[in-house]
Amino acid sequence: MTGRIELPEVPELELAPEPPPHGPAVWAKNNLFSTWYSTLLTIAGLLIVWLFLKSILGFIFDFDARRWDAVTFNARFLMVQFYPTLDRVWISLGIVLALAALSFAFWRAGGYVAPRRLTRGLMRVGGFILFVIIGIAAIDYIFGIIFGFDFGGFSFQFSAKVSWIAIAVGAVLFAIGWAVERALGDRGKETIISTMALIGAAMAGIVGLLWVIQLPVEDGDPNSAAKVFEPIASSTAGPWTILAATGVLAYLLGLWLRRIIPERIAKGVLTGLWLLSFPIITLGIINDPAFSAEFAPEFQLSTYLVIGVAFLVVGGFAIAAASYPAIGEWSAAIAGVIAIAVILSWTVAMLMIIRFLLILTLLFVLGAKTFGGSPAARVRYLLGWASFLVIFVYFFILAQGGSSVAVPTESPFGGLVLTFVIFIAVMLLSFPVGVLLALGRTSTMPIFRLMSVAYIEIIRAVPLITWLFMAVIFLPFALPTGVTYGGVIRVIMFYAAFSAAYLAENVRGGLQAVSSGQQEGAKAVGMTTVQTAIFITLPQALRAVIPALVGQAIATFKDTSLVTIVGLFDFLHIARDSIPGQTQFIGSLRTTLIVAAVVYWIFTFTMSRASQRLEKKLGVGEH
Amino acid sequence: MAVTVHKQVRPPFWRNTTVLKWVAQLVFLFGFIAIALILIRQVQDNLSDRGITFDFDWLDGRLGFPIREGIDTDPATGGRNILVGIVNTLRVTIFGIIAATILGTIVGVARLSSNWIVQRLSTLYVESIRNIPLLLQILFWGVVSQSFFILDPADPDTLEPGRYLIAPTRKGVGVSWIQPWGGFYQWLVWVIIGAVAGFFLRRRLVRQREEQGAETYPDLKAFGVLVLFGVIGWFAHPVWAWLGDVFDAIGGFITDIPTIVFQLVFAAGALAIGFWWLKRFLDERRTPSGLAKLTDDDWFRMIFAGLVSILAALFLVAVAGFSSEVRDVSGSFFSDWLAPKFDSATRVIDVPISEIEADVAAGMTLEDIAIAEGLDRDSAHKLVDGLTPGFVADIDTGIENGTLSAAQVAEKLETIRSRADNPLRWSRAEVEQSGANFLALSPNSGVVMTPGFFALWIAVTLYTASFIAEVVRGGILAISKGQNEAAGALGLTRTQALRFVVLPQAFRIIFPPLGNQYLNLFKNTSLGIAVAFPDIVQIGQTTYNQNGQSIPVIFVWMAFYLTGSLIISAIVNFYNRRMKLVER
Repeated sequence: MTGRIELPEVPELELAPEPPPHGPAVWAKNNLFSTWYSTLLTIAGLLIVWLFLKSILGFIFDFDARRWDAVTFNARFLMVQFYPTLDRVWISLGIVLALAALSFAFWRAGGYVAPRRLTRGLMRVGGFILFVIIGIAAIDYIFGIIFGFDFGGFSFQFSAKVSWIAIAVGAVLFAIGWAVERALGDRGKETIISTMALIGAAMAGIVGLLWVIQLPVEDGDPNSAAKVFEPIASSTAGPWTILAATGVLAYLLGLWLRRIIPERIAKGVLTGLWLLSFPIITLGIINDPAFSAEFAPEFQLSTYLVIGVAFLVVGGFAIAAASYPAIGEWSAAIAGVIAIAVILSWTVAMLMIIRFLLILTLLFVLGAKTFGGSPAARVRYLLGWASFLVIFVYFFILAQGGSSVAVPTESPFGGLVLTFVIFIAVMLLSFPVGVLLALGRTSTMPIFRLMSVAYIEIIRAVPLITWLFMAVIFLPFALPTGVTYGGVIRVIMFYAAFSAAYLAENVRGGLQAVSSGQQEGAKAVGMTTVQTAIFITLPQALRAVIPALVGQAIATFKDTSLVTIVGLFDFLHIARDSIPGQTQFIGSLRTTLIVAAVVYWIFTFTMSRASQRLEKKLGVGEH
Repeated sequence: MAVTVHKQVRPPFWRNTTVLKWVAQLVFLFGFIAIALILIRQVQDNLSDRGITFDFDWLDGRLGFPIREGIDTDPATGGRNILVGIVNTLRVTIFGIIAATILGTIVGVARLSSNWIVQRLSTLYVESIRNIPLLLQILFWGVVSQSFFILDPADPDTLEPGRYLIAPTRKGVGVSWIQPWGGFYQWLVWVIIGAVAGFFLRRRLVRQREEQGAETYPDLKAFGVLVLFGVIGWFAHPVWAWLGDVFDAIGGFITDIPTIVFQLVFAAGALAIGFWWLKRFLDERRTPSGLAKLTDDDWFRMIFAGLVSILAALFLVAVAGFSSEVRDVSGSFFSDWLAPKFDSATRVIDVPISEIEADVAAGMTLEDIAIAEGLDRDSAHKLVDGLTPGFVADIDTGIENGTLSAAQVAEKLETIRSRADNPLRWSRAEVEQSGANFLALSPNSGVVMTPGFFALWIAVTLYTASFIAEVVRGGILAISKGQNEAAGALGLTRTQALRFVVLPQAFRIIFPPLGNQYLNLFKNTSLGIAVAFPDIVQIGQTTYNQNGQSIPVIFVWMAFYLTGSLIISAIVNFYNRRMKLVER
């Protein structure tokens, strides 16, 4: 016996006969014309679709009024405004892309799809284009006969090239899909194509398109409209090619590394790299010393290094000592001494880094008993302390060297990059605060609970725009004389505080979903309150609310647009204010707004789809 | 067998978790208070460095900037401007809630429709609208509304100044509408009485129907009673004129109460709340066998609660400003705001004919005569303003040409007087000249939908409706399929099953998230600032740009939104409790 259990042979069950295949006519009768009012609704719906498509297509193809060139000529402006020179942005993008590709390789993301899905997709898109063009032409014709006038918007014209190109594209797509499906036959139903290979092919296709683009061709007009997409294509073809190649190479590298490096280590390192990437990109790469030279007074690298080493040694000893079980009550004494040092450090003039490192040491000493109980855990804990310290000192040095995030109020920093910087910074900052608030709100300690409730409810009752105004007009009054923060920092601080209150409510939902038996069990095995929260309650609670958290991330992303009202040059500000303000593009507001809407929509829709998939995968809500 | 008895030893205080927890909390609390005090000090220093004094005097001071939206800014004080902003915010909120609820319910049901195209269209609507930032949508509708209101873009000002049923201009669309008029508040008393009577009648009839099993038409009859009282009140409203004196007396009485009485009453209230909390706390710990043993934690809580209420009481006694402010505001609410609404003296012209003769001989216009004969300028203007322009113009030309005698003018004045007493008036949209080349809609005529209102309202409605649709869909899906099938088995059609079986049950699930959406809508109206809609945020911003009082303005914003949010969530909670399934 080899450990396998032999199952008795189960006779093949007699399945019910498959229902007779439905034709399109049956489908239409069931889904469109089942009753008389369903028929009415169908006709009304078709009319709405018709009007909608006419106006949308009319909008897209009306080159004289729509000024697509306002967007394409300002593409760079929309993305980064002036500040980070483009190479820095490309490098940042490259880092993110490479990390993403590595992660995909390590987590075996993707999977396989059946070719039939692709061919069906092609046929669907081609058929849709044909249906739209021919349908509009047909309904226009009928309406022309009945009412004798045109509703405006897009209409099929035999003279216009666009109409014929559209029909040709639709027909070709449909034909390719149909032909490939026929050629594959039954093999088309097997899952044989790798998703990652598909994504790679799609990227290659897009990059290739950038090299050949001369779009669109409209009635032989040689002016601006004719080569609307060329400025984007010519300036970004090179970088995008390199980026795509980097992504593919990183993916292949990941596949190779996966075989030679133990999975746990690799995943841990990758997670660390992801966490590091944000500060490295903002402080290291996008940071341009030329912009922030005035923020670097007499700054001595060696001082910081000596301080760092001193803390590494002395603090390491203190933490190691505090984590020995034999030390007993004396660990509290160590913590007390450091706490007194922390308090004293703020009353005596000294370098800021010492004060913050003392606080960090105190936190680690307090957590020593919780995390460093066994010898193996102690080594890990000390390693964690060392890496934390190194990163901390590194960021302090970076920040002292002048940080572009703390740029002056009139920030040269803007565009889609600013939108994303605000979004990511707010998400990162609000997460720990929100979790603490949620713990406070569900805590049994009345003052903590009361203060958390007051904070959450007051923040949530007042709209975000009011808090942003506070960040802009009130905060300068509350800061000590001489201390100023840039507008971006101020807005991020208040926005993160705002977001934390909402996050706390979401996390609270998860905390309440964890059964109290879990906590009692943890208490029974002798865990402390902090240990219970960190190892038992929070992991379960956070898992339960992941969809809600993604929902909140979407809301946060959408609401970054509000910073335009307090005068930051984010993506929306440039789209609604800066571009329509350029003399050659006056009156292009509608175009830029619609492009901005599409860009926002792409990001939020992707996030919401990802959250839905995650929800299904986690089985949240299924009992 | 020897039994070892463990004597229970209380741990030393530095290991007693209860003590430690309380020490941690108190340290945190005092640290928080200390930081707050340092911040306040800092703000004070910085403010005084810049020569700004922190006060609320600007609420009463004159602060004139034109607001062409909602109620008029008269008197043009800072407080009145803020009030205009509050009214505008509430208007958008209420109309937005109504429209978004209707649209959201329709779309939510449509997403579950068996008709493929309807289902796809509603899905498209939801997925596109809710994934685009609201601010962007407001801006978009702001652009659209610029061209939407003008019938002929080539010549935006096609209308002549005058009154119209519907008046589209580039400053918005004016639509003739019903407005409250002179006798409105007196009439309102009748309507309230009718509503109360109808409510009780309806309750009785419903009980009767349940007991006897026969249809008694409670809704119809209750509505009939309301209409009846409304009609009676239309003619009999001056009956309540004496209420004005009563309110005046109440206001005077409140103002005459010494401040110390208010201080003591408030302090007693604070103590009573503390006492009530302690009593409830102890009651919760009472078991049939007497009071449960109180833990250290319980003692700490009780001491803390008691201290807070005593401190609050001491504060209320020691600081007289709060109490006197409450007294003055409530007193002036009765005598300065409520009482004049019932006083018909400001609307009655009752003068001897000889005086009118003199006025007519002097060639005065009707409005001037009304002013000369004892009406204040404001009421006189409103009086004449409320009449058809032709009527006034006829009289004015009549006086000018000498074709109207003094007796006839007195008769016309009498007509005006009687009309001025009507509870409601039909107010026609008026286009007036504003500046040399611009036309504007007179703010007191009809209802005006400005482009800003339109953009904000439609964007907020569409946006919130997409979320409400998801809430409605989720609620309907949560009702088990068996309910639908059972309804089908009873012979109900799909629509009937939805109306009588599914929706009433789904409503219970829908309601709490729906209330959340209403709250979001209320807060989202603050984005109207992007299209220059003068809501409280925009007006507040203009205010502090003028007088530099940014921090008081922030306080006003926070107070308003906190109150509004609390009221909305209180209403939602109230309904939620009422509709909760009674579990057996």
